[in-house]
Amino acid sequence: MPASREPTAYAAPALRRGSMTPVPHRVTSVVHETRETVTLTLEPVADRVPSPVAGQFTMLWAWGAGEVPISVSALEDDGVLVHTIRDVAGVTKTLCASKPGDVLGVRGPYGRGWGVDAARGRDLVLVAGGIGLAPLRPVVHTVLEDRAAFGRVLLVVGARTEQELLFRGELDGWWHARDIAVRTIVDRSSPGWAGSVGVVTNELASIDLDPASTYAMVCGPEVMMRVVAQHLTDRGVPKESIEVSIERNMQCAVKTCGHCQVGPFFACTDGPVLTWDVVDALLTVREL
Amino acid sequence: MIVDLDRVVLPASGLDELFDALHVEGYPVLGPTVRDGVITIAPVTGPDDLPRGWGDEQDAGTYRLVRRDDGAYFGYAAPAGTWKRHLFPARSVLWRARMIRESPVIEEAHDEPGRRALLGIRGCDLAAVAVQDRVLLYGAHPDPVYAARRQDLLLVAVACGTPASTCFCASMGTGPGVGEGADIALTELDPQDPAQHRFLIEARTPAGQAVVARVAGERARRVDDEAAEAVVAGAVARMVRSVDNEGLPDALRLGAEDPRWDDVARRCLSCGSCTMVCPTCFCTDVRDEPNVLVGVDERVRVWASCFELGHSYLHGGAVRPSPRARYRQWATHKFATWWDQFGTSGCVGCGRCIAWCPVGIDVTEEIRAVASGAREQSP
Amino acid sequence: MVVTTMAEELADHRFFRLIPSALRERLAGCAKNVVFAPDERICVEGTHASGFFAIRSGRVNVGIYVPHQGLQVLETRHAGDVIGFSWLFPPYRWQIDAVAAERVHAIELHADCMLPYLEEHPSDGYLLVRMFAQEMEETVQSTRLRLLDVYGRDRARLT
Repeated sequence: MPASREPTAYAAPALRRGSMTPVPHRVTSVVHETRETVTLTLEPVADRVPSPVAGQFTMLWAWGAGEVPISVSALEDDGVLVHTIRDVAGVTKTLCASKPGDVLGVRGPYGRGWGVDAARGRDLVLVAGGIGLAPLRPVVHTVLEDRAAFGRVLLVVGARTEQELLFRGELDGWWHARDIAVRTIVDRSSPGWAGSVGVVTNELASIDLDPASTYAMVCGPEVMMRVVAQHLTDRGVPKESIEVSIERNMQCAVKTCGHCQVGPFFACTDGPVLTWDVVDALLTVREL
Repeated sequence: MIVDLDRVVLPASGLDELFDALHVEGYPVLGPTVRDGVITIAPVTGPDDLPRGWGDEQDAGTYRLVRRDDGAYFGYAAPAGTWKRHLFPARSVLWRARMIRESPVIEEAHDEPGRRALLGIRGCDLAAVAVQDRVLLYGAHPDPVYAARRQDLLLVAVACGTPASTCFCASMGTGPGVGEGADIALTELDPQDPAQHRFLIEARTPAGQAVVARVAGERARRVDDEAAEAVVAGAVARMVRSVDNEGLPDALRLGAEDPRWDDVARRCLSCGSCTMVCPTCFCTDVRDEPNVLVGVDERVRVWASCFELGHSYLHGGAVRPSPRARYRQWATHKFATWWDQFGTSGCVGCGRCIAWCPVGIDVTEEIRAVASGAREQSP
Repeated sequence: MVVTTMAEELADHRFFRLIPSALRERLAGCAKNVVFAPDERICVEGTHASGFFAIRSGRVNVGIYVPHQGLQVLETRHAGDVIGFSWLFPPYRWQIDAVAAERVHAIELHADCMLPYLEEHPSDGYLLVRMFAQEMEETVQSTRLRLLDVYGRDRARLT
């Protein structure tokens, strides 16, 4: 934080119109991942938006309902967007009820994404809780395309129950075969569940880590991210090597409405991905 | 850098020439005027619309107009109204969308008021425009509504000689003189003496020069310059409140758990008046307003406040549910984190938040208390 | 094949690593290796708590048996964990069922062997009980976090 100082000089860039105007995209596929989660694939009707990177989000708009920030859950070419949305009522309910052929609006992509490049040459530990697996899936895809660039890769996935695990098909088979270790753990067991029961830190505790060479990306509810980041820190992983994705109320997504501020940061622009050394300091202040 | 291209003196009785010059150059004028018991900002067509002979008394939770014993046109401190309202409207429609053959067709709203002159803007409010420029114009996504209203704006600022007790622009470095960004700077001189009552007019930009060139003024003399300096110096001397910005951002950050926040929370109503009258506050709600009957979905943007409980709404609750946290957010953002975000303080020292707080909370006192507590703790 | 003593095997286990070697030696005298096949019951709720198990490899499901629904698994224990606190205090009865989720190698330590020694050597008793208290705290914390239901629709609301 700076001491008071002279204002820094600014130069006005060229004006751009339309940063608040959604770009129409047509729904081409709807996949029901779980009872309340849907993956939509969107194609541009005419104009494209810039290709997102892993960890970024767009503001998805449904006519008459409104906009919500949704992370991209896969990276595609040709302006195609993939979003996995959880129905928590409101706009998300409308989005989850989309049918192929529906036209939605897209603004973005926005935000600071996952530091995949920073993780090259290191052991990558991905910890996902609930819907938090969606923003991390593009990281896994990126890693698989260039597996040799990373050391050990571990994905730990936590969910409420087996029924709420996302991307089961990919989790169950494909990633195992590609030399990424995948562990799943549920809060509560259900009939037929043969996996672990507990919280993600229980699973992490049973895995060997080399703290010095570990780079971690953690995504899920804030309570879960705090607990996991603290666990990794206690085991010697430097805080700067742990990334989390913060969530705040987002409306404009372009650093002008003010809602998403957490301390000095705008979650829409300085985040949502931030390193734990920064976030830890912020979250120690309750109700910041 | 402040450059005076032309410096002339105009008798107060000739102020209508300035209006004529603005009119000829194509600038409708917004300026201070008395309305509803306050000095507010509205279209003004001539000197008679200005608050001639009016002053103000302001203190914590207090504002009243008082009659002056002279005919000063600008004999008050800061107007109750803000210029912000004219650059950053309280409600804007950004676009309208209709469903046509099951596809939304979006039409952006265009609102270009054209060139205008802001006459009588004080140093504090001038600095506030520069602060809002950084937020709304100089980021990666310039705001079209603000940009349209900001371009072709002629800023005719007036130095202040009559600070209220709520003013602290001097300690914030924004006044009482006229700083950077003005096209024309006025200083009102000797209003008590009708024979000497005059304006020192300084053109600071080519656009300002074009207007000043049309005014039949005399060249400013040394005595006029000295009188102008005395006006500002006198205002500085009379200023009662101040903020010590040295190390303030760090002090506020360290003082996040200071008991003073609990203390102010017992008084603060979370009404948000301070944010409404603040010339730099920029928070808005961006939302859809669908009208199913006529088949139109409007995207609107309305002023919002970090004091609203729903401002930080997330997953069924607020991140900042307590009034304590919300007051802390406002004060810390204004005086500390704004520096990180935009490279300046968010406060210009206009004092409106102090005057218009219904319970008379003085933000300068609150942050002083927190900062001194934090400074005690860390060497 | 490398032959190790029980004391060495205990030293290899996460739970015993921070216990002084003298106490470890003593405990080794109360310990034996056990193997469980997948789905084999390790302990039964309500029966006498005969001691505790330190898991060397394999996962163990811990839960409560509910009539008509079978074993409700409430947590999974991994290599390095221990199962069984109830042998330390009355009524000395298992509170849970534990079942091997896969082939499990464990070390079983007997209460009848340990308790008299610990009673007579309270400082050793303190060390061991403190290790157990730490395990219990982690279990309680994991339980609290799941009670919060952070992945639930209302995201960690209890009301």
